[in-house]
Amino acid sequence: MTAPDTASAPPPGARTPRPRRRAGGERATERRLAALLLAPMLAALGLVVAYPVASAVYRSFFDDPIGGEPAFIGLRNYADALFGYGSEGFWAALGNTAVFTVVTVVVETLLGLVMALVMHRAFRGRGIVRASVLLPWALPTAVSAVIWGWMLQPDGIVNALIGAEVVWGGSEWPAKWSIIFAEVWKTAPFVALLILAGLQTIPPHLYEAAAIDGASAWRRFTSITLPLAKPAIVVAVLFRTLDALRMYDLPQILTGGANNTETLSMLVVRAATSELKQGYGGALSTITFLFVFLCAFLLIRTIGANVFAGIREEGTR
Amino acid sequence: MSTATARRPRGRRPATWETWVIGAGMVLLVLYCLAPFYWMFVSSLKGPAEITVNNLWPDDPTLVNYTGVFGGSNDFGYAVRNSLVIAVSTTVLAMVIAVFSGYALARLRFRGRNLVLALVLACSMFPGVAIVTPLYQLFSDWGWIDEYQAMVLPNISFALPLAIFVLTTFFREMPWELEEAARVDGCGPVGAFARVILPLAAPGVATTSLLVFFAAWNEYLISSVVSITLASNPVTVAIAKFAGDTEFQQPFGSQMAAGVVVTLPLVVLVLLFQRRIVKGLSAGSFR
Amino acid sequence: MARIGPGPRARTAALAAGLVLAATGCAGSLPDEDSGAVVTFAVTRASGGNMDAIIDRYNEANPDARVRIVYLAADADAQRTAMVQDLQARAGRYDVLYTDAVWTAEFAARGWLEPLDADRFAGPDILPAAAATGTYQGTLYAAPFATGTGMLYYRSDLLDEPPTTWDELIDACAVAEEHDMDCYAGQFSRYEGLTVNATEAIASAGGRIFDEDGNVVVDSPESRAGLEFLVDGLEQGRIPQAALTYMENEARLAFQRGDLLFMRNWAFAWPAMEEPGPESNVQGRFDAVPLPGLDGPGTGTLGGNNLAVSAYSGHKEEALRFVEYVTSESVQAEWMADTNTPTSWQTNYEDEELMAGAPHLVPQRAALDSVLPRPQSPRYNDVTNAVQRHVYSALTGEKTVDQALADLQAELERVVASA
Repeated sequence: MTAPDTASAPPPGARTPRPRRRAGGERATERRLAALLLAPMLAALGLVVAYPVASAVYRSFFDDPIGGEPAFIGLRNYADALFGYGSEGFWAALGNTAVFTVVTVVVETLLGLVMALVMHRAFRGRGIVRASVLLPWALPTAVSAVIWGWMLQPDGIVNALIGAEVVWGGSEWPAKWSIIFAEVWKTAPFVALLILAGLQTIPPHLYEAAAIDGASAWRRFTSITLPLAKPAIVVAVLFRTLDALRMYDLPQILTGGANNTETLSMLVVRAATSELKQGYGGALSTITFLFVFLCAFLLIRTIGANVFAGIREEGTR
Repeated sequence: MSTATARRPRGRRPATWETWVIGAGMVLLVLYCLAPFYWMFVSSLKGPAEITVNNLWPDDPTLVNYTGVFGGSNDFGYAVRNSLVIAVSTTVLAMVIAVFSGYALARLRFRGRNLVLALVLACSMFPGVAIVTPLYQLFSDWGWIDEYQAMVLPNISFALPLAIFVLTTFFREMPWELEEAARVDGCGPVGAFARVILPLAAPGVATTSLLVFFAAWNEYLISSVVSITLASNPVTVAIAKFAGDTEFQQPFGSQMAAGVVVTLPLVVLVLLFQRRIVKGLSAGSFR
Repeated sequence: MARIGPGPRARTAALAAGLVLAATGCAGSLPDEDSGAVVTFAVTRASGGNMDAIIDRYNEANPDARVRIVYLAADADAQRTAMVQDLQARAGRYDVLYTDAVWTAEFAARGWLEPLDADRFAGPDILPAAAATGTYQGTLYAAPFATGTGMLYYRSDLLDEPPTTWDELIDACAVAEEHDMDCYAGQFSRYEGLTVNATEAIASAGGRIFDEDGNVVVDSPESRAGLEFLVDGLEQGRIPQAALTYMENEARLAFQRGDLLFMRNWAFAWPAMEEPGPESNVQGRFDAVPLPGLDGPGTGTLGGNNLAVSAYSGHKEEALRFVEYVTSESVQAEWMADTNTPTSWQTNYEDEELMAGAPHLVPQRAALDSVLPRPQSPRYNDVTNAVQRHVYSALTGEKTVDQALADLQAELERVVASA
């Protein structure tokens, strides 16, 4: 954690590096304690995520006969998806997923930051503000998708309010924008909530010191708020990205994938659930996983080094 | 250290334009966030004759959609109960597990720490829709179909990666020498952690709990296949079962009424939690 | 819990516990709990009628084979997913399945359905087309239940004679223009309803998607003429662009607002539009006839639902008895009166009392004489997904009709080869 050093007045003793006085004997105890504390988490993830994922990946190397036993076909499902009969749909879905992810995550982060700052600074009626900002995130996606779908009907309230006759579900960009609107509306509060929690841990005396030094509001924002809230922002962006890359319910309910709005997860459902091709669907899921993994890796490399920065990095300070 | 009340810099009262900007921002935010809810609420008060009309307040408000939701064979009350049981159990268990893990990952030295973090993160990367079938078969073998645990356990696992990352991030920011001091003062390791660190991390813990609760409250994908009868149907599954007069008529009014009913407990929860989120630091003992 | 988080969570837990108790307190015992039940019937409330009443009556008469209902989601895809999960796991949790007309082939081909005795469940009084939707490779797998086909609704206050061909319909659009309305709409959103509408348009011009031997024959001049009726309609403004988002209910709402002169829809739209109140602008001002076609009367597509017995059921005898009861002539007549839904019993339509209370079933019965099922395939979802994608891209102008049909032909050939 290097961010506090950039603040104009580092809190004395508030964030010093971890003491390094622990020696060999204690290390073994620590390792045992760590193993003990991590065990329940590993068990839960192993059972409900690792096992089904492993079985989906295993299944992806087999074909999808009607009745009868699936036969091993190596990587043919992958080839079909990437270069074969499924490639047109696959690359389109990959592109759509990337567009949705980039646009929604960028907008959500900016909007979430603004929301968090307003929530943080609000004085009169802040309970109302905080509660209202969080509600969109709290509403089940299935319900919010129905509301947005209803509002965006050709003769719905949105067209009535803007005085236009946009057929939101009838062509590519209106359809894409309606998904983006609804997604941002729903998930910006998630980002805001995490950033707000980050803002709340910033010691107030930093601002006081900066104010005494005569720093402008903008300077206080860039040199105290942003660096200290950065870990929270990074976690929010990271998890929003992972979720956006796997977006399913909202486009499914709003457009059903029409007008080039199909996402990778919708492709997986179409293959595995609708067309009952679990092998091919498994291959699509695995490819999606690898794509998400790559995105997460790049994201962490560029903005999120400190998420993984642990003891090792601090030890070198 | 500062006093608890000095959340805003005392030396400089906010300039007038700042007050205006914040005030305008608040109003805009509330409008933006609540407009669809308003439409949901208004629609829920419209009878079948009015529901397709775009008037901003019903000419003839009616509770017929609400009686439809709670009456007859919809019995939404069970669903609210089931969702509360599932979401509360998920939140409690997931937070205990995540606090353990977060402590280990932020505080303890052991080899493979980054590997563990990477594995946890990787669990949020596989399309959830692809694990439904294997999970159904697993739970079917265990006799878990239509039982709460078939939803609680997956909810916990889906919530853990985010919870662990948030808590690890927050714990790492904590002044751990205070914990050491408390241990020197005679607290056990658990006591020192619970009395010193957790209160300081309260914004993170409260925020995470809220996120976990919402996620569990909203879960549909797994529930829609493992939960079969009213005995276990959460609200999301119950809403999906609402039907119009025929298969082609969307029960829009009752869906909107259900949306309002589903939102109410969350409003209460948010109002309760938002204080905790705000108080986090000032109530904590940085002194 | 109090130990590690005394503040917020303890309070929330207390609050939640309170709410739980409150919810439980007023809930009482579960209505779908019947510990004595032998047969589980997976159905949806969207079936429309009062299934609970039928079950209660059946259970009273058959205490040894009590049936309990499990209501699945209202959405057909969600119903299918729930059933498929159970069938794939061979769990046999559902004994009797309320299946869509187009699921028969894919369920039967995978060995998930119990073969049925055609004499017992689809006798001579059953509409042959309805029985065909429950049949796969000559064997009956699903007993015909509710059925139905598309009709052309028109404004009888504005037109004297309904059109019987597309040319007549196009000529009549001048009337729509006079009254500042749109002329025609069906269900052109990209979903199963589009497959229905496209199949009807193609068949009404004499085309087919598969021939009788299961070969793909969709790339034909007849299919082109069929699709062009829709594509030209959108291009030339006879069909409003908004129809690209229409499902059954949206089309019905547009018609009853008075925005449409003609509409393709199922029988359900009639009673909905005749309901008294300010909801409908067209009460008593519309009628319905069988669909028009290219050179003469058109061809409808068959919708509807059947009842099947799971191959993994542990109580097949009891399940069959129940299916026989629900699909019997008298129960179906009652269902018809209760729900206004067309049934599969030809004799129901001869019941004068029944028909007097359901004027829309007269044109519906006429339309049922000229119907084709949607393509039957054990890979039905591949087929319908392909039809929806390519037809939709022709409707939006993304592809020419020729290109869309050529692409559809190629994709369906691949699907057939893989089946």
